[in-house]
Amino acid sequence: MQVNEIVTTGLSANEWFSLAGQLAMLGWVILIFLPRRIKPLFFIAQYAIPFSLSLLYAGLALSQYFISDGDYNSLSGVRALFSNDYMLLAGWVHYLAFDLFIGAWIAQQADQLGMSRMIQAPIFLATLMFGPVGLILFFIIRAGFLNGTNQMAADNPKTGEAEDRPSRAGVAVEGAQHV
Amino acid sequence: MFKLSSLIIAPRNVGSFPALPFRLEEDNTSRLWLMCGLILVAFVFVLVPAQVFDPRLFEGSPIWHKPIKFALSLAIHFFTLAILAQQISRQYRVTKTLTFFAYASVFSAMFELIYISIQAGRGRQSHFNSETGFEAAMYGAMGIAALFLVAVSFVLGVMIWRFSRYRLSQTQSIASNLSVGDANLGLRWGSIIGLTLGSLLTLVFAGYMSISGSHYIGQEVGQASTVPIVGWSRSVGDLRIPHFIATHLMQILPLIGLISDTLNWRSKPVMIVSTLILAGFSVVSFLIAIAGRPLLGG
Repeated sequence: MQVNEIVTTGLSANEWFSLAGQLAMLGWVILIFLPRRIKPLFFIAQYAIPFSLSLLYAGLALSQYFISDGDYNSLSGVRALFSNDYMLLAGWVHYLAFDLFIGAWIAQQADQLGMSRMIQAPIFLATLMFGPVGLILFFIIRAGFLNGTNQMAADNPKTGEAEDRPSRAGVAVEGAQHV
Repeated sequence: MFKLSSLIIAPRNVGSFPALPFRLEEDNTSRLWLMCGLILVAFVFVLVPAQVFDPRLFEGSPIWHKPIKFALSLAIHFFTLAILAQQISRQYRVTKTLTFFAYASVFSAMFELIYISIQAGRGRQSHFNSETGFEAAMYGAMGIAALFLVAVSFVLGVMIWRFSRYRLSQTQSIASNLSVGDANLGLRWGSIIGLTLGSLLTLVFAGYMSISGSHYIGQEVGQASTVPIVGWSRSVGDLRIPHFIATHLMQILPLIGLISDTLNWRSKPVMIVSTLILAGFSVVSFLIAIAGRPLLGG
């Protein structure tokens, strides 16, 4: 294959593919299973791995795009572009980098909402497998809190301990009808 | 006020976790159930587009209908748990027992929904499937998960009965002060009966369904007419009907109780009569189903 002459790293597209995949999976394992309290660990998943993958993408895409057939203008143009293995690999690495970065962003936001890791895990699985699906899941959950976050100042739950207002449950159940 | 930007941009100055919507109190159990309900609603948002693009049918219904129905039904289940749990004090909501059942139920719901969705996408059965060793094992695991899903509502029902924060004496004094009927008694008993009886009847009906190996009783016809939306059979007995009624007693009875409280009805006769009617209806629909006849003929 001629493109091998241009890529001077000596690694084939297949070797780069598995390396990049393993690196991304390391990031996902950190996000799904490992504790968030260890800041450097989270830094690896959120910044170090997406940054490395982005460097790999830059190398592949910038070296291949201009000499490949095809372009971004039509579906057939994109198909022609991805008939080049290194450009196809670049496209895949783009997925890996962006999905992981979005996953780390979701993790940060979800922690602020107090979302259990048990509920975060399916979102990460969805983001890992079908990126935007995970993003939809998180956006919808977040939308459920638009009501709550804005009431925060007026209705601080921490100070509400002493109350035993009978109306409480009634109001809560009425709220359910708007679900 | 709805601000679109707050969907994208992180909320600032968040010292602790934000308050929960619908005036739920802030504690681990309420938060967990609410989040679980929300993610199940979110599942619907990703499953509906799949349904729109996918023309495949399974046993005469579109293949994505089943995960969509499960997601909606379980979302309602978890919102109900979160809302009805407000009737006991926070100290009881965060006990080890309830915390264990809360996490077990959420894990079960996540597992069931993910597996049902994947099997739907593959065009395979999720329940009653023993064709491969893996699918048989997963069907067994789903049975255990389903047990936790009904166990949690039963446990909550018992806890509301034992530890309701509205003691009878207190309720009566409130009632005499406000000159209303019996305050929250309707909601309270609706929750207790709905959660416990609903769980027990669901266990019986769904258990019978899993033993009989299909939700149909009688010769099923592939493309036979079905009830819209829910997809129940109009030609043979369908065990999903009693399951549906029994499971949603958990919402119907508390709602009846709440309405009776609001209208100042005497909650005791109201709750007794509505419990008898609804539980009787679910049992009758079960008997009709095992006789192999459709409840809603066609």
